Amino acid sequence: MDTRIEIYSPRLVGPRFNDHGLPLELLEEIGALEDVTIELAKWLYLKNNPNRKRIPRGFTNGISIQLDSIESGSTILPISLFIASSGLFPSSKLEYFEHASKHLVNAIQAAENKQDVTEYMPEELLSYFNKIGRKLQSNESIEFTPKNVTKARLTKETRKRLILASTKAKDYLDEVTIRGYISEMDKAKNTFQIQQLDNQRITGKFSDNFVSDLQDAFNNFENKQLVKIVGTGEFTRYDKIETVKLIESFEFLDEKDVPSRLQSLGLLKDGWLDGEGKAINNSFINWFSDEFERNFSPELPLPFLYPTLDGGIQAEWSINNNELSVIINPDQNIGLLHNLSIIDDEEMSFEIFFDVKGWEKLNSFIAKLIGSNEG
Amino acid sequence: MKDNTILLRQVHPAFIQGERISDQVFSSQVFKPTQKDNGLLSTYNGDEFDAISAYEHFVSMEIGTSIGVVGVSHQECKNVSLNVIADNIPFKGHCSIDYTGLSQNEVSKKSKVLKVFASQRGWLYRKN
Repeated sequence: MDTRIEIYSPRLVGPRFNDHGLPLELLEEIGALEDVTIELAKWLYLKNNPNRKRIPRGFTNGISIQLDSIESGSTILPISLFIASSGLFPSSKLEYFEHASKHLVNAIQAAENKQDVTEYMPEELLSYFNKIGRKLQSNESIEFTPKNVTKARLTKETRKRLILASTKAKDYLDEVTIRGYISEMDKAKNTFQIQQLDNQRITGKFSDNFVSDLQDAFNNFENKQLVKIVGTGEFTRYDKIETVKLIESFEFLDEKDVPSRLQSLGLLKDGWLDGEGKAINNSFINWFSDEFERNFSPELPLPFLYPTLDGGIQAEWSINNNELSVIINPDQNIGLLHNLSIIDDEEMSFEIFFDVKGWEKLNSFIAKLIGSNEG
Repeated sequence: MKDNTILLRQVHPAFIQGERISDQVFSSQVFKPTQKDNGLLSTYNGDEFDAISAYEHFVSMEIGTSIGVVGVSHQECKNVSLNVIADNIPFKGHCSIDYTGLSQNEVSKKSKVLKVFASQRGWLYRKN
C-alpha cells in the first residue's frame, strides 16, 4: 500500500503568482527541495545513531517527494512524501523524513529572525539553497508556514543568509541580469567577458547554444552592440557579481534600450552638470525602468532619455515635426507631458500619472503623433 | 552681430545619447537655462569664435565640461522672440540668449525650437 504524507505546504507570494499559475522555472527548485530533505533525513538519522558511521542500506528506497495537485485558485503547493509499498517501510525511518522537513522550515524561520540557522541544519547542507529560491524576484517570497503567525519566509535576503551561514561559503548563486557589450570570447575555454555599462568587466561561461549570438555580439563590440544576459551569477557576500556561471537567455538590445540608458544615468553623481544637478536615486530608476518595460507599447519608438537637474528624467521624442517631452518627477512619480508642433506652433501639456490608465494615455498620444503623418 | 551670426553652445556629455557619433542626439535642455544662469543662457559669439576655438576656450578656461558644439543663428533666436545680448561678460565674445521673465512652459517651448534649429545644422564641433 502506498502512503502520502504532506510535509510542506509553501505559499508563493508575489505579483507573478497572482494568477495562480506555477512558473515552470520553479519546478527545478522543488526538485532541490527533495534532495535537501533526503539529505537532512540522513543527517538526522546519523545524529540520533552516533554509533553508526553509515546510513542503512535502502534508507531512501521507495521514498520520493512529490508535488500534489494544486487546488484551483490556490497559491499553496502541497508537497508530500510519497512512500511506495509503505507496508515494508519502517515507520521509525519515516519519522526522519518528517522531522527533516520541520528542520528545514525551522532553519528558514531562523534565517528570517537573523538567528543561528545551523541549530537546525548542518553547514554542509546549506549550499542547497543555491538552488532553492534562486528564481525568486525581489518582491516575492515563499512562505513555508503560511497558516502560522510566523511564516518562515524564504526571500532573496533570507536565502542569502542561509547560504552564507556556512563558514565555508564565500559566495552564493543568484539570478543575474547584465547589460553590456561582449568584449572577449574564448571558444576553446567556452568563456566570455561582458563589459557592463559602468565599464566593469565580468567573465562568464557559455554553452554551445549561445555561441552564435555571442560571436555576433563580440564581432560588433566596436559598433557598441548592446546585449542583455540573464543567467546564474556567483556573488560575493557583499553582493558583488564575480562571474556568470550559466547563461539562460541572451538578447540583442536596441541601442536606445531604456533600462540600459537608465542604468547609465544612474551612474551620475551629485553636481554632474558642472557643479549643478542632483544624482538620480536608484530606487526611482528601478521603479521607472520596471514600469516602462511593463507598460510602454513595444510598437512605439523608444525615447531618448536625459537627466534633469532635480534628479528626475526627461524623455524626448521627435515625431513627425512634433517635439514631445515627458519630465518624470522623482518625488511624486508623476510625469509632465509637453508637446510642441513645430509646423503650426501648437502646444499641448498635461500630467501623466503612471498607473495603467496613464500609460495607456501616453501610448495612445504617441501613436496619434505617428499616425498624424498618415492621414 | 548680424542675423546670420551663429551663437555657439557647448553640449554637456550628460545631454547626449547614442554610442555612435553619427547617431547622437542631444537634449532640448542644452538650450534651457539652469538656475545658476538666472535666465541668461551663455553662448559664444560666432563672429568672435569658431566652433573649435569656442570649445578650446571653454575647456581651457575650465568653465565646464563639453563634448562638442552646436549652434543657432541670431535670426533663429529672433524667430522665437528671444533677445540676444552681446554682453562680453565674463569674456570678450560671450553672448547671452535672454529667457528672463518667461514661464516654465515658454522656456520649454523655445528651447525645443532652438534644439530643432541646432539639430538641423548638425554638430559644429565634436570631441572624439
